[in-house]
Amino acid sequence: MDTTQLLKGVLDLTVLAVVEGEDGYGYDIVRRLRDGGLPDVGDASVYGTLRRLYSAGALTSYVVPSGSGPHRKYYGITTTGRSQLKKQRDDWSVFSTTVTAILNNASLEGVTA
Amino acid sequence: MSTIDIAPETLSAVRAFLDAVRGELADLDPDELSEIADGLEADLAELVGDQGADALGDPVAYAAELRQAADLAPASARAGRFRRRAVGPLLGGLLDAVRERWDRAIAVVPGDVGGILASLQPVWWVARAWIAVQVGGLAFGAYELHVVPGQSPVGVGAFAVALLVSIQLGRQKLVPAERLRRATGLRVLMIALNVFAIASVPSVAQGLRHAQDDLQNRASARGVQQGYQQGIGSVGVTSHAGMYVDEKWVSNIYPYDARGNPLVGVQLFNQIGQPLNVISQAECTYKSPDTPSDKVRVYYPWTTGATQNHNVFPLASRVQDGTDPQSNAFNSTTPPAIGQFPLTHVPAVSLPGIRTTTQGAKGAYQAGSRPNTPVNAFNQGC
Repeated sequence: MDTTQLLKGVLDLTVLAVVEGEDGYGYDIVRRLRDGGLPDVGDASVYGTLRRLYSAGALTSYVVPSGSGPHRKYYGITTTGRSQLKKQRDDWSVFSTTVTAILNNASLEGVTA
Repeated sequence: MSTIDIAPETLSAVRAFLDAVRGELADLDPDELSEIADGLEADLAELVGDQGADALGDPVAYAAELRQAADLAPASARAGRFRRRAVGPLLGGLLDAVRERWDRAIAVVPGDVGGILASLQPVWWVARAWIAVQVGGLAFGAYELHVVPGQSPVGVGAFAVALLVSIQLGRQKLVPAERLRRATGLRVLMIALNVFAIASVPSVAQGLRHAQDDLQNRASARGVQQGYQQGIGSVGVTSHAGMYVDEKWVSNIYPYDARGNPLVGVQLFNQIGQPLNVISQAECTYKSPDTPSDKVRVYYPWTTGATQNHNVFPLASRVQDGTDPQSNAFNSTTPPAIGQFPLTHVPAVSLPGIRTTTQGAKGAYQAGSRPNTPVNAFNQGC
């Protein structure tokens, strides 16, 4: 299933949701999304999304130095981010329910037709 | 997890990829670019660690995806700034490539040359601090160069500061490696400073050589003075006593009258009536310029009968054993003598309306035909 187009619409929501649970660095967040059932999520898309959410004030970031290699940049959610997540979660809930209902109805109609 | 161990080859691949991505995003504001690329190195290194270098993919597509997701305007919209911004990442990439090539070249040399060079780094940190202080000394002329720049408080302070800065720079405490790698300008500056330090070595070496020569000259002068002190300690002179011309000790004076004829027994005083004493050390004598003889030339001051006057010229001298004047010297078979004047005759001099007083004077030196050779023909001390 090609979910690339679908992902674009929900990347903000899923990234915020993942970070809300626990602060994380870019690749860690990518991994959590993939482990969560979105194997096609692109690294660059996630990093870009993180940057955009950070610019919008939904995320905060901090650097954790590494003793032996390049440092890691961690992201955490802000109050603004939580509000945004709550709203988008509600929107998604309504939206997905609606889409599911439409799809179910269409499916039923298809069966009856 | 904040500590990551990354293999050098992985880091090289990641950095090359990241530089290419940065090049694609070079039209962005540097701060924005820094923000977006910050931390990516660690993330990408982990990605490569998980899935191999192929997981990196195409940097152009990666940059485009990143740009789109971050909602940044595409490069074409900012084309005006592209070329100017692109120089930094391009140069950074070039420096990375040189560094990688160097690392690879060193890695294949047997005998762990890379490891040895790495362990010699602290030596270079000290050396460049030392060079910096010496160059500073040359540039400002504030103090003479010394092998150990600790002979003046300024030298000690400057070296301490330079050493601290150099070591901290070397330990990447002043500018963290990660930041330095991203700040191409800073990186070029660091390279330029190191190259400048190496290029300054000949100038510093030359300055030191001069300083060393100077030091030896002074030591030699001190030695002469000390030798003299020992030689004529009984006369009771102090150091710095005597007369100097062109920083060289005057051991004797040969006066001539206005007609240019040699004079003997001339008493000299300064403007306040103090005697112009000349201190004449016992001089070594030479069989040839490089072969000193075992006898020394000892000067004998003129006398009033009660005191010895060191301001009467020329001084008499004789070659003898031992540096102390002998009380019976004038009764010996080799009494002290005036010897030969350095010049048999000098040009006559005059001033309008000024009468000379020495014409035909009784003390005029009468010495028919004389060779034009000074007493101390080789003009050198012991």
